[in-house]
Amino acid sequence: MERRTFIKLSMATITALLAPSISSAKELDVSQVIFSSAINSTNNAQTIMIFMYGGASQLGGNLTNIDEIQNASQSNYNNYFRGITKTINNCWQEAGGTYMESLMADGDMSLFRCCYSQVREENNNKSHGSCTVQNQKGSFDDDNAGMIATLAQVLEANGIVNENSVMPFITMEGESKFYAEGKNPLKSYLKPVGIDENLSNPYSRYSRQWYYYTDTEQDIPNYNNKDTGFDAALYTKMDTLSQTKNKAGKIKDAFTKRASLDTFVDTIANSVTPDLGADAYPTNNRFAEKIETAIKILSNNPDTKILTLGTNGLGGWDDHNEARDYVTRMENLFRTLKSAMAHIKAEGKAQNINIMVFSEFGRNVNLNSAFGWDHGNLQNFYVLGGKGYFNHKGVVGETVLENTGAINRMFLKPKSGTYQFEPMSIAATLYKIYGIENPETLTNGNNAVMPLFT
Amino acid sequence: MYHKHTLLRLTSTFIISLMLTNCGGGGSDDSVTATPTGTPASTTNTATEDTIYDLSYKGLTFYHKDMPPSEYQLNQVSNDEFNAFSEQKKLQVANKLLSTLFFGYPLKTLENKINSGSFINDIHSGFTEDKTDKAWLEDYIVNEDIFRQVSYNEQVAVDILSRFFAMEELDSYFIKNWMAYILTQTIMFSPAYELDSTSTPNIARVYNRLVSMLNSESGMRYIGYVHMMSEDNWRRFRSPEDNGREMLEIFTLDEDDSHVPIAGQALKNWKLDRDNDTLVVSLNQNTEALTLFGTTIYNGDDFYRELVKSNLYTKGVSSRLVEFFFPNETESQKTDILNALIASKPETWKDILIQIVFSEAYLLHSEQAKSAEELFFPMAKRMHFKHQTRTLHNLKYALDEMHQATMRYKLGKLERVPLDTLSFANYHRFIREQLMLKNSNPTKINDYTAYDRHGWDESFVDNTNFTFDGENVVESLTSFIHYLFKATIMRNASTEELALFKTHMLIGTVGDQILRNEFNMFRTDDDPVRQREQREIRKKRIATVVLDYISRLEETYTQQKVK
Repeated sequence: MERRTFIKLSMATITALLAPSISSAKELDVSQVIFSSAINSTNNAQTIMIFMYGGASQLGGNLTNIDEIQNASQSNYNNYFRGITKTINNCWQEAGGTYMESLMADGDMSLFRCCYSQVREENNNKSHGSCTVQNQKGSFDDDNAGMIATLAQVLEANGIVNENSVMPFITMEGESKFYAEGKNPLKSYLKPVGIDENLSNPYSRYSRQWYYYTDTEQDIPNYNNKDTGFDAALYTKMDTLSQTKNKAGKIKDAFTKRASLDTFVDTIANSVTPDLGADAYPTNNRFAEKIETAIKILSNNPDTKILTLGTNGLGGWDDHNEARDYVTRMENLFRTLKSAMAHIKAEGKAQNINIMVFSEFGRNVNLNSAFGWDHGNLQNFYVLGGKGYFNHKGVVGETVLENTGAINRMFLKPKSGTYQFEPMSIAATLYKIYGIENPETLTNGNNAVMPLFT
Repeated sequence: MYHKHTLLRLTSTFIISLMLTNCGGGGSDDSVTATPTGTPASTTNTATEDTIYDLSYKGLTFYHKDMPPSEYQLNQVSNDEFNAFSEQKKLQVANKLLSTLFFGYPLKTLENKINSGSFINDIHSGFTEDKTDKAWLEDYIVNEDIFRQVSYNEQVAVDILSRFFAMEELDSYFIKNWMAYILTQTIMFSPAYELDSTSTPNIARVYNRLVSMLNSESGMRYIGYVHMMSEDNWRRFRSPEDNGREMLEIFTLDEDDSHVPIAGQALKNWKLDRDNDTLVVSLNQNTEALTLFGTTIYNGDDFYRELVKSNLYTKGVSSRLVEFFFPNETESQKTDILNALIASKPETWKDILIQIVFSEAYLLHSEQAKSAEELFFPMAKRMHFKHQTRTLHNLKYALDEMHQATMRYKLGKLERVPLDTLSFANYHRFIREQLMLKNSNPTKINDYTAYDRHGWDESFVDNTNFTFDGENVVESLTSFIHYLFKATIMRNASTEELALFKTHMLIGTVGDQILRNEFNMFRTDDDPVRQREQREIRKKRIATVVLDYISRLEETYTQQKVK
């Protein structure tokens, strides 16, 4: 069979496989979603979703094939990295491996080594843009909503979140496709609010300027005192009137939420992290500050269901050159995740709060001429916590090396018969723990990562 | 004798040739030489002004004249169409056009320009005029007594912002800077100083090269080619496969992974050396014939050159700019706009950018959030805003907090104006606290280090801008409020808005109302100097309250659809 014919056939097959799911995914029909309030209530899940923008190498969590890789690599691994040490489960000791082993030994983490997209393989797609969008939407469908926007609408339809929910979805990374709206507009209170790791409060406004007060208000003693005074009514009147003029949309939403966010941020800022002893967060580390703040928020506000963040503070993962930085980054990431699990436990939330860590794709394993790795397909999926509903299995999945023989075309692939899944299964896993019993209807037919539930 | 522009272009060719040599940009069997007809020529000096637009290198033409607007295929707002608009619509369209260009005029000046009957034509023709004293300007913006100069906060990016703040004419120099600025905000030309492999000078190198090449009438293909070959670009995309993949994706929208190894092979001898992140092109270039862009390529020079020569490049770069200026249009609308742009056969960045900005699709039908630059710079000009040494540094810090950082991101501003609550809260806070609520202390006009020099100038609220009549207090207040609205958001205050302010600022019964003491801009005093001071203070309080309200309006932050 000619290659072009094969590609056409593959595309046709994929299209046929995806067509029913795609057509239902384009417009969310919550009546097709089987939802269990009991599962939702029992799990009482809260999620921190960490997206490793740039496409993180899988090698930190998988050195199984490293000997073979080293033999075939364009640049020499040992010379460049000055030694690579395998842990007992073939993680990269210097790249967070020690912390990974500790987390797995404690039953706090599962490491899935075969998150692999057959669809992308057959479509020749290793592009940052589309892979990020697909993974954050949990769908190959361009028109689909983000996975959190989809979940938000399902939860709202089933009465789990409503207009009285306090900050149900929070982003610490700005806008992302996790929250992209599909054909069904997302109600204002379902849209994410933004908070930064320092809990700096741009939502606050000085509202004690004396000439904003009426004569009557000025007659009240200490009317504009910073601590004992009150805000001039004019400020509220201006807010109210301007909001009647403002058109529906993100800006109006942001103004609507400003005052409550002002209070919310102050409340979280005043909360204290328990003493974590030897597992204390690394200092002077912006990413660690983000995670610490995230757990404070989830611990103090049961209404917050999902919080998303990137790895700002650690750096991006697009390691095309000088991959030595990757080792440090992974070490800092997993050291922080170890602290995070200790924090979650200290707050008594080990049953409820989970952390999911993934990327748009993994990387080519040839150490290229610039001492980096180019784009790949297979990636790791790290799942931590949520012990009330996840059964952590440690390492799941085995890989083999595929060396095409061409320059810089050396990839890890799932070993035949091993457990593997499309990245869409991550969204399905999220949906499942929040009570959706048929998540595959929302993810192009891809089910949840089932070993977590058996 | 060569004309000034011809010499400039020839010099530019020579400099760029040197730049390519320095960055190892050769790699081809032939050296970079200008050939009027595509046949080999010995030196660039054979070109004359008449033939300079024929100069090319293996089919890559260096220079192009900008297309006349009459050849644009995207429907334009013409002078006649503009003149037929209502007064309100003229103001809104004019403001949208100017603010898109980071420019603005005080209200009276704008109204006069609109009433001239040639507003649109005048803006167009202004782009070809050279009014700016560039020597003065370039010295002024780096004068540390006036604009703080430091070794942090990416000073060169602050200098670029300072230049926009300081430029007083919407002329040729301004528009080239604007085009360069827009391009560096996109995925195509972002200097990406957030990366470890880039450094602050990359900002200046990318930006200044764009301005220089635009100034010498370099075509968009040639500019793209030079950029792709540069060390600055290689510091962003740092391995043969990475650079090849990203150039294909970014400039031709080609996401086919099977093309990546081909690009990688063509670039196999290109490397960003660890020593100071220096681009090195070694001599072991690929010798195997490769097929890409419907032609045969061998090496990196072939890859970049044939990429920019392909029709995919025109579609790719046009598409990137359509996404940038029309983030909220439907895919179908974007396709229509894109097809019209491509049909016009653009060969310069101006052919695309100006065609977009003056189009009906943009000026009349599109609606999107204003970038902070589109809000701050025009508003500052409308308010006669006075800066202090830190003002532009503070703007840059604020852009970071709004997640609208300039030239920072590896992939440019994929979302030009993030409107998540945190980003917008920072945006609103900067506009409210640093632009709307600050008025400049006139006694500090010569003290650039004074904190209270920063703010809108007294002339913004000068009594000549509205009806100032002590015999008719209510009408004066009404007129002042309308003026503040119109000067900032191009409309009068509504009945409800007027009522809100009047209720707060006036006392007494209807028909016999006076201004409360704190707002009494007609206060009398035996000492005329003191009277003026007290009146100004009170008038500024009125303005502060009204501008505070305006800072809460969504329309302040929006490039609006004009009905």
